[in-house]
Amino acid sequence: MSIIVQNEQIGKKGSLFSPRRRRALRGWLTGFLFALPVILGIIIFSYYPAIQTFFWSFTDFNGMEITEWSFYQYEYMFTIDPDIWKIFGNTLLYAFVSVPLGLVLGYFLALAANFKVKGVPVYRLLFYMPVIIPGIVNGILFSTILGGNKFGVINELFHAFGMSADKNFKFFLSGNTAMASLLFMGVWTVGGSMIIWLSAFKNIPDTLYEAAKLDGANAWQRLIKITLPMSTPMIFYNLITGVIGALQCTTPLVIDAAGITGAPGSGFDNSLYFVAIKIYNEAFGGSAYYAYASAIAWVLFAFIGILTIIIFSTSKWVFYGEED
Amino acid sequence: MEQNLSIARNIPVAVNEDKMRSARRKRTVLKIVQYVVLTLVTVFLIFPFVVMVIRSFMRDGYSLMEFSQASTLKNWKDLFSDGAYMTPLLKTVIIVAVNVVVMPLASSLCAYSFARTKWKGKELTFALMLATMMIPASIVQLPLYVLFSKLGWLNSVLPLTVPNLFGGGAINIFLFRQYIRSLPKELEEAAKIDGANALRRYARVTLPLCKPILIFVAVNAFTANWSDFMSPLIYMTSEDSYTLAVAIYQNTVGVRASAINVRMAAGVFMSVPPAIIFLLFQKNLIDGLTVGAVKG
Amino acid sequence: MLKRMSAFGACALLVLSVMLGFTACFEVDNPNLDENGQPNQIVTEVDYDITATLKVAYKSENSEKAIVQSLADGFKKIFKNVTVELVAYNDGTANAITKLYNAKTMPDIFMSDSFSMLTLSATKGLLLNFTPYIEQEIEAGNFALEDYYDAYMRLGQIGFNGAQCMIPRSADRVVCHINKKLIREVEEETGKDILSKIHNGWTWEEFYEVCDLLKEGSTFKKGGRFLLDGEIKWEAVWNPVFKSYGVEYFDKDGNVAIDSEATKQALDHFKYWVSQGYCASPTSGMSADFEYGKGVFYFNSMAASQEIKTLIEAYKDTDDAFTVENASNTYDVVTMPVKADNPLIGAGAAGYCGYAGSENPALVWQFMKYLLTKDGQNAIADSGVNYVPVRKDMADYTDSENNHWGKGYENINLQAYVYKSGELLEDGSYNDDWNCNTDYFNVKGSKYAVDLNAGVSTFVTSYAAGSKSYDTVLNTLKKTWDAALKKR
Repeated sequence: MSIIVQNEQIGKKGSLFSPRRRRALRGWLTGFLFALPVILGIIIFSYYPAIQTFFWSFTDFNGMEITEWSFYQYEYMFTIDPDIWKIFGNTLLYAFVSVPLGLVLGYFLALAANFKVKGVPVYRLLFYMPVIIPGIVNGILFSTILGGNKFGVINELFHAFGMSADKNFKFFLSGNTAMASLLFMGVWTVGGSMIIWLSAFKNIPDTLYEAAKLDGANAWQRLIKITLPMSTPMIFYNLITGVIGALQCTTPLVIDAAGITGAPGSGFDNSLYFVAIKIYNEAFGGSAYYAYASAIAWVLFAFIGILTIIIFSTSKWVFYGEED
Repeated sequence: MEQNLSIARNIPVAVNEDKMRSARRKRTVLKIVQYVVLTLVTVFLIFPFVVMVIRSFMRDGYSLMEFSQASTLKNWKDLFSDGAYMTPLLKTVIIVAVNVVVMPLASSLCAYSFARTKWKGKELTFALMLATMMIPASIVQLPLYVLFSKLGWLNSVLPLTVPNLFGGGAINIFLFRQYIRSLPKELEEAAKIDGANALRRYARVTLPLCKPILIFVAVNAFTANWSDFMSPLIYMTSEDSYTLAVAIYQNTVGVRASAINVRMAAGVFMSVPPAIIFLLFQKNLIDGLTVGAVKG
Repeated sequence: MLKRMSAFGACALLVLSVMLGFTACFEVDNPNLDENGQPNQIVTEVDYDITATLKVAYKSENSEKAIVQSLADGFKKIFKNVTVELVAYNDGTANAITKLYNAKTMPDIFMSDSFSMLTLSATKGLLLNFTPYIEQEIEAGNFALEDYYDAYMRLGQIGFNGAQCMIPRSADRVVCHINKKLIREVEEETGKDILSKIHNGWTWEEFYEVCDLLKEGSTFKKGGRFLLDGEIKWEAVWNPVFKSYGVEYFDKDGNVAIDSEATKQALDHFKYWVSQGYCASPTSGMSADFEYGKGVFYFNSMAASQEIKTLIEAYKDTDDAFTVENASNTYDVVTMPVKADNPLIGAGAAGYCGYAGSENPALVWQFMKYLLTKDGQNAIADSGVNYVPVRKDMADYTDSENNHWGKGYENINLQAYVYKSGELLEDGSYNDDWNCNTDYFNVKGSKYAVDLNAGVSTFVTSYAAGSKSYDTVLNTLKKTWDAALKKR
């Protein structure tokens, strides 16, 4: 027996089909095969499209044929397209305001949802309800509620309470107030961020709070020294995913479906024109400017990439607690 | 001395009662304030939904105040009789049903590989997979649209279901991996000794233990696919293949502002299933979010 | 580690190239097409007993389904063994058809409008060119172009003067729909006669006079109710007005020539509607709601039968409910107001296009030919939608035996649809004076038509809304045009 064992141990290590190699191969194969679906998935459905659009952005692909290869699409984007800078500005403004706003408001909402009173779970459910309403329904609903003419619900309410019939809050029908109205609309869905804070709260052991109370810390100090630092992983993760999501916002397409002035979804005077909507209009809006849409999409992608890298490399403020 | 002691003994009791009463009063005041705050916030947040429900029972062209004059069931009747919303509903149900089953299974399978097996390149693959979360949907939709059109998959449910077979979503795999890693290894070791291969171990041992996350991912799959709007808008173009979200959208474009109440009814209708799902799985959702945040 | 990475990378690239090759290798050349993507052989003689299937796509709105069904039924009476399969699409036409083309599930025939046709014409091998068929038929003596309104046939041509790629199914001229009931109410209230001032061929001055008279009535005096649904966004409304003021969009060398005194006047013309309160500001989201029975005038090319149906629906449960028989009490139609010294009226055109790669282009042409016969035109009217026939010899709507579009609507002033547009003159020629097509973009090319139009629409609506100055909107227009023309 020991001889056999010895033989196995001495046996040609380098041979391709030695038992140890085979075992190692099988082990490798098991893991790999389990992950094969997602490997294929990310190649076919993520990386291939990304590379394909990268190539398209240097051509004039219109869905049927390519006749030239050049930097023209980028040149067009940055020098000729009259709307593009406003679009970039709108998108950045929306992303960098709506996400932190949501997190802050969500925190307060979570505080309220954590009140130790009877029936709080019901309230919590009601807070979260607006988040459940599908996006398309939200858009129609709010374009009615925040309707800029006298049929808008808010305007009706104000008229009923005595505001003169000629005055109407413009909301989405004016370039100045459209963005603010959109951000205001986002307030209703802070239930989502509330849930996130609630789970963050659950993760913080009560003992920390007890200890702090014993030490005489007041509510503000408890917030700054315990809640916020312990929640930073949650905040960090949701800040990134939130901003990445907000940069791709397409809600105005639903609010301004027919395009009062200009392209569908652009909002009054391009005030709600976001990058993702522009890409959709260019590619699927009738004349299939896939190449141009690809160029814009890659600029967006590059921006997201740089942003993520910046956030990650300055993430020293995130406190992970016990390492896994 | 005795007098002093009695006095000394008396005072704390009296002070305690007063303190208790004022503390109780403070607590009641606090409770009232809390309830007021909760109610105000609820009214604010629920107000749009209430408007939607009321409007769905009203005739077009009347302001909300005139509800009594204009109440009607016509919108709801139109919703169910008019084919415009029933077929899309069916399509949406099919898509959601498939995804609710496929996504948890596919992502748990792949996550098992990242959590429990060892193979060279695992970390790299995992990183590459996470990196795909940064790719904006717009980039993916264009070539996939061309690919699907050449394959003839447009106007069918395939573009919205087949990609989810391949991994079920990076975020879901991430969540499963976190969860599986936190499970004790003993059970699986025991199964391994009993001779079960990896697939068996995954199916018999790990998967049942993942129930909370399975439900979480399934619920998310439900809500995400039920309300998904951009993808069906792009991939489904002919009327008989619309999903509910797209059907409501198409009936919004270009129609006069005064004719929207049927869409309000459709909107209420569309909000009900996710609401029910959330009601049933509330706790699960909150717990599930914790899993993702442990490592950030 | 490096080896693993490169192995992974090589795998990925392999899959990638397979994918790219995959997508490319689906291009199969159709042997029946020549290098322009048109059929090699132009066949105009088709056996009436042929067995084939024609797939027809229609835009799922209004009564398009009824129209195309009626046409299909009539067609099947001639070609008894042909099956006509109907398919709906519900998106912008250019969008929907491009998607079908990419998915290789193109119908043989599809409904389109003139501008979508122009957009689609940029793709080689998509639109079937009917001109060779028409020429062959003319040679054989089976066809005469003079039978049809030149203006509308041209709306089916590329650049509106080139290859015939769309056969117009009707002459969708812009008219002014009127709500007589509301006018009568104001007449009763003020005692002044208004209806007699409305007549075919009326001018803008007369129109404004009527509007002012109407505004004396209590219904319209205060703000909130509007008289006119002006469709200011639509090119068939602004282009004739622009042309009648003498606006030149591009000069013959292709330079932008729109900045002129004439343009300012034309813009002010529209702004006047809004500032006088006749028409709601296009950006306010409000409207006169003609189709809900609340507005008086509506500039549109819709068939009279459809507007009547809409109004019947609007007044259904009220005291003003009416039926088709006594519709002329509530509804009438009249020509669009024109400028006295340069009268021009625009038109939309909807029709059917053919697919160049169809298996049976000859049969597609037969369908179009049927559409253009008297029977075909009557079939459209029989479906319940009385669009104006595109045949000149069917202009007399009072002869409802032969021209079905007037049947049941003899009391309606259907003359408005054909007034000064193809009416027979004493010398036997046809009067085409007042027709005006939106074809200013030809100097630049058909494929820019839609984008250029979008620019002008914004130009007009934002000026009419009153918030921007002439220089601002002109600047925006120039930039939009510049960007549109430079797109590749």
